[in-house]
Amino acid sequence: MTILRGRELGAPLSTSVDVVVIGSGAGGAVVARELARAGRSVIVLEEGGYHPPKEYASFSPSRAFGTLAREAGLGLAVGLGDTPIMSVLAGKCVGGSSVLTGGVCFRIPDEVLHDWSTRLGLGAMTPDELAPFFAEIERDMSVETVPESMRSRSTELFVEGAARLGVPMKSLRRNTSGCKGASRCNFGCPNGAKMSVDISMLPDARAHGATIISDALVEKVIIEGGTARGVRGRFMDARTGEPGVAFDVRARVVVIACGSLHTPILLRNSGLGTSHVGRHLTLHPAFRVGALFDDRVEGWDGAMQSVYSDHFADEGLTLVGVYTAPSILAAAFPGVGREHRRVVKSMPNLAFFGAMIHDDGNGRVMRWVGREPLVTYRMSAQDRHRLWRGVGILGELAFAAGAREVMLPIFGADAIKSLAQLRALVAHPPSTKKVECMSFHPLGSARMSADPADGVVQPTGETWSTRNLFVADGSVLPTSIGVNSQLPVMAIALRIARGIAADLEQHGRVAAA
Amino acid sequence: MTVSPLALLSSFPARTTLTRRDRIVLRAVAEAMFSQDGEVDASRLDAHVDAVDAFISHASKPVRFGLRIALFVVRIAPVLFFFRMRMLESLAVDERVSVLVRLERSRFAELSLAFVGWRAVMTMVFYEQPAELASLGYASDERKVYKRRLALVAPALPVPEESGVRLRGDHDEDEHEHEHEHEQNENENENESEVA
Repeated sequence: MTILRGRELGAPLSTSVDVVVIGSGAGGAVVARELARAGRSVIVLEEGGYHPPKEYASFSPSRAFGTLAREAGLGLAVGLGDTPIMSVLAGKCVGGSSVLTGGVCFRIPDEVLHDWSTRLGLGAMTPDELAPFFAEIERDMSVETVPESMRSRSTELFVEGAARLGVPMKSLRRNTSGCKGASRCNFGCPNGAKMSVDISMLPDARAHGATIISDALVEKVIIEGGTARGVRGRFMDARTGEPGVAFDVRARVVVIACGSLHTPILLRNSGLGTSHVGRHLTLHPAFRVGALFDDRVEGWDGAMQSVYSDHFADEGLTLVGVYTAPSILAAAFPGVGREHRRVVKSMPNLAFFGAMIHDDGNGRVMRWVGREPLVTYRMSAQDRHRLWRGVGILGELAFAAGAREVMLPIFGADAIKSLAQLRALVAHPPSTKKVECMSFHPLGSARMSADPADGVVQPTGETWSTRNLFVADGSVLPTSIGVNSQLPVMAIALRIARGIAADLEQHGRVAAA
Repeated sequence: MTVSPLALLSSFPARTTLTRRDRIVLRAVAEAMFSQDGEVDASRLDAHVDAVDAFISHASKPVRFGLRIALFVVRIAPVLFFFRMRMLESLAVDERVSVLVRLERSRFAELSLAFVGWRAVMTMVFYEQPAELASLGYASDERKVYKRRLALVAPALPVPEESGVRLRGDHDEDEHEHEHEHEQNENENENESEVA
């Protein structure tokens, strides 16, 4: 795939197209491909750099985070009240977060869609209505069930522990083709087997005439007379990485797909002042426990994620098997010096079990110093309960699987050596602030609504306040969904793109007026 | 001026974050973390500090500033916890370890995070060195599990020897074993039905 690298463009750029898409991740790539296929002239502007799969295949985890992730993977949501500080991983490269996901694909659960279509009044968001969009994306992204033969020993132990407690596990589906179980999907697949959008969608968009420009920071949407007319921004400087040479792109339709952390910032910078912009952020707080076994586990050999359980979905919890690069796992180990080294040396005997909270969401994205947003998150009392319930469940599964020790995600806590110890801790938990939590699915900061008073965008994806300005990323999801968000974001983006394609002549007339 | 893409890749963005004093503190923390018994030589610790600096320099100004504040908290931790008017880097290694343990276990989560955040970054960078990975038993990027699947989906396909996928001979042996197991199962089933 050939693309233009903004950092190599030395002169200002000014051009005009049918559609400009800001962001090349799961949402933006789908929109770009769909509209390019419909014969429209499309430019995709991506703030991050372009790194072909062959290049990132050789990256170490720190190099991958530094090069492909926003804030080098050090982005945080500041916890308010009794809430942990959460690391929030988001992509900043051509392909966006899809390059850094575990590739797990779920459709939006029926009960979530039922809530959207009834309580929230989003009548078109039903399982039947969305099914064709999901099916199309699943086909194009090579979504397949992870075979049991790809399970790592860590996952097998997770399944064994669950079985002993009567908790059923199911195989996950992922967008892979020829996965070799390197267990490091979230640093860019080393084997090019994960069908992230830089592999699956953007080359197709490019083949249909779309232009993709990396290192292109959009600073403002040009809005005149209540209608979006294009965007303005600057290419990142090759040496400093800071914005340099200016560009502007005039377009009949502007589609923002910068993700839940940056879409609200761009909307605000462009003068969209609705009180919902940046609010209602949900994070799906995720955590894991380490389980030490007498036998070697070598959990790095196998698919990074291959099973899940929705057994506790009614309690707002999804259990997921998870493993990743040893250096990343070691980064969360307790202790200092000799003690830390001792724990790290036990890595081959450690399995990891994870869980994710279907959160109520009370986060906010705000402009702050610099270009990156300030993200705050206040965990609800119910979510705190879910968190400790989840820690307890994972710990019990670990002991049921035969673990000798269990490392809980609590800063400075010693390993737990018995069920009694675990139950005592969960019954009287420490401050939730001390829990090590992560978020991989920030959603909802420019939510879709049936009424202009309740959200930022219409069910079509067009903003309530500005004509021809659309949002097509995770920020439009009106609530958390309790499952991994890549496939839902893509399906909804496809639906939005189809609507834009169908109405483009009308959008053109509005723009001309 | 034409800039080679490789040069861009290695230097983008071309900046560092840590001051000379920050680097001294970070090296002192690294020594306490990874070389309490002197197992890591000085040049590797210096290289580690360079690598950490390069890594965090990809982040935005506010994050880099926050990290420097956190490092300052770590530096003055002996004053906070032991009322000793000495900075962390001037303590002996074992004393540094004691201070950092206290910091990690502090009941004030924010203080704890100042160290835990740095430990996470430093550990990630340190343990991705091939020698350290090898010491954990992670000998190579070679994987075996997926080959089970290859054997299942394409047992009849000729497999080149150098691919590492189990060979036809192995497969034949496995088939014999499988047949043997199958016979045993059938015998057991027959016995069970007789008992029933």
